[in-house]
Amino acid sequence: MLRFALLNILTRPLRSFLALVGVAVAIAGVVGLVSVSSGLKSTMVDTLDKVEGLVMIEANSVDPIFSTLPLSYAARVERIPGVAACVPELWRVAPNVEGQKTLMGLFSAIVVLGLDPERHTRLSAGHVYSRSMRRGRNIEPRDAGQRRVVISERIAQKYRKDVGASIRVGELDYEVVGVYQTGSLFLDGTLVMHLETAWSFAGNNSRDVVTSFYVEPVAQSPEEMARVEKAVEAEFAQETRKVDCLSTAEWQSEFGKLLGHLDVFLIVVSSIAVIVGAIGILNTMLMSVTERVPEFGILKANGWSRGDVTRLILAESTYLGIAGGLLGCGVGVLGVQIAARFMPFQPATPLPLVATAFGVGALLGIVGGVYPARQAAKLSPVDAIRAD
Amino acid sequence: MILRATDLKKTYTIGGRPVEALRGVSLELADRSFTFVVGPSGSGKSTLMHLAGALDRPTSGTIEVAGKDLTALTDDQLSEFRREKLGFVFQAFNLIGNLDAVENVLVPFYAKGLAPGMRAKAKELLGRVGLAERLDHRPKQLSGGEQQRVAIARALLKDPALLLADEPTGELDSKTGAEIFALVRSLHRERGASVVVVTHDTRFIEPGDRVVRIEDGKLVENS
Repeated sequence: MLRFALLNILTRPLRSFLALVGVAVAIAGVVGLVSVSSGLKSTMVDTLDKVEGLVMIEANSVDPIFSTLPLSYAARVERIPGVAACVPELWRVAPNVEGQKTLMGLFSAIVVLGLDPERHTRLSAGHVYSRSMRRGRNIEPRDAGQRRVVISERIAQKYRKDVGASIRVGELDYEVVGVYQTGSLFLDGTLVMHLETAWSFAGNNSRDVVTSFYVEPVAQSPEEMARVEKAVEAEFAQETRKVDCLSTAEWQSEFGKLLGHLDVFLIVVSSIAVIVGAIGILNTMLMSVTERVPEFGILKANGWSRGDVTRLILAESTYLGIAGGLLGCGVGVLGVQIAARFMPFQPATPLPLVATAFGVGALLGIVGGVYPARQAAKLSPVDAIRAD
Repeated sequence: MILRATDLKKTYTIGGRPVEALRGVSLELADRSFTFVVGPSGSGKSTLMHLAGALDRPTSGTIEVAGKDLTALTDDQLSEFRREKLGFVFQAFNLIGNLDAVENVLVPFYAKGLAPGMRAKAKELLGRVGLAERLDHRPKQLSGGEQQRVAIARALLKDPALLLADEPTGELDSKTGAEIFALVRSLHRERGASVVVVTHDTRFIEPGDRVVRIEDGKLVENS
């Protein structure tokens, strides 16, 4: 029967091809979208894994850029037992670099980080940027108030700048003194400068406000991190400006919530694609059944039961689903690889995703074939033969 | 007895009105008999063949074929009965277009899987009906007579107890029709299956054949 079913598919090439394309487009779409989403998640996890300590920001701020905290908080945090160091940071968006707008895309945005190099020497492992230097030098105390920056390899390549060159950020030129590379999509969009310089860049007249603090606990165990977090938040619980102290795991959780919305979107789009694919197979098989009514009469006259006819149609639609699933997975994986060349992060297409997508294709075939199979099975042999 | 029908009635509903196709037909056919069912168009002879072929169920009455009461069988049992005991030859040949001659002969057994040797038997039968050189030809590549020979081979593959032929020469020229009839007769003699031929054409009736005439759904001649 399976060979007969395959013959029935192959001898109607155009119709079979159209149904197959319908399934393949749906499956390729699902593979592509989920690969992009997975890639985005893994890029974010990868980024957060590079930051071992805690980040203290103003309570309920979604990002340090939107946070404002008094510089004086640093000293209070450092007095909390279990805290090794607390260093201030000033984050600002660089709206244009070298006269080009940087806010046009999520991944092309460039931000400015102002840090205090003297305080950074207190960090046992240094800062993620100071650990990732490729050329030149870190920001040093002598850079206070000087228009000097450390840029990432990505920014260096994009704007063709290197150590010793001048780079225009906003309205002013800055000297590039070093080039770093963390390997993270998000971290490598940062221009690092001295806190004093950053205050000037941000237009801050007062020097007693920053956006956030990097807090390094004495011990890095999850229990100790959690204890320090609670202690830091409790320290400022009575203040007008309360704080949130977040570990890498909590940032991941926050980001996970954001991506949860993306997942809902993906589920909706994928479901629509899958339904369209199923309708494609349903339509093809219904047309096929309508055209082949006399054939089913012949089969029934020759001893095929309702169940046999049902199995034949389901076998045909499953073949279409399997072929569509294979084609869709192939096109999806290939499409993701091609798209990856033009994307700022690497999409992830794990094997279980491909296997699931293929399974969905086969399932589409079965589901799309159920109704036509029932229609064919219930035909009376006499009426079916007469329909010729 | 290969067939025993008792007070067989069949009523169709066409356009909301009942139409009596068979109105109480009682009939007995002996094993190994060669029977012609004749009568004008719309007389009910094809309906009788469909009931004898387990393709349809009577409205009332009983019909026994090869010792089985067809009215007592379920749909699946009727399918199995058709596959095991009956062979059909139709006016329009009714071959499957995307299968070659051998595969068309094997169609009854595709659903349950081919027994060993069945493919060889199909080829042998096709050789017997004169198509040894046309085994891999599809229906479109065969003439009408050749297609009907494939249908005959398909009907005989299962060694049926009863071969039912509905206007088997209706779409063939007279010379080819005569060849087909000669073939059916020789296979009848060789294999011993009972044969029922529904036809308008009485030219092929020979002495010793059973002739059943139906008019207006009733048996009017039984000789």
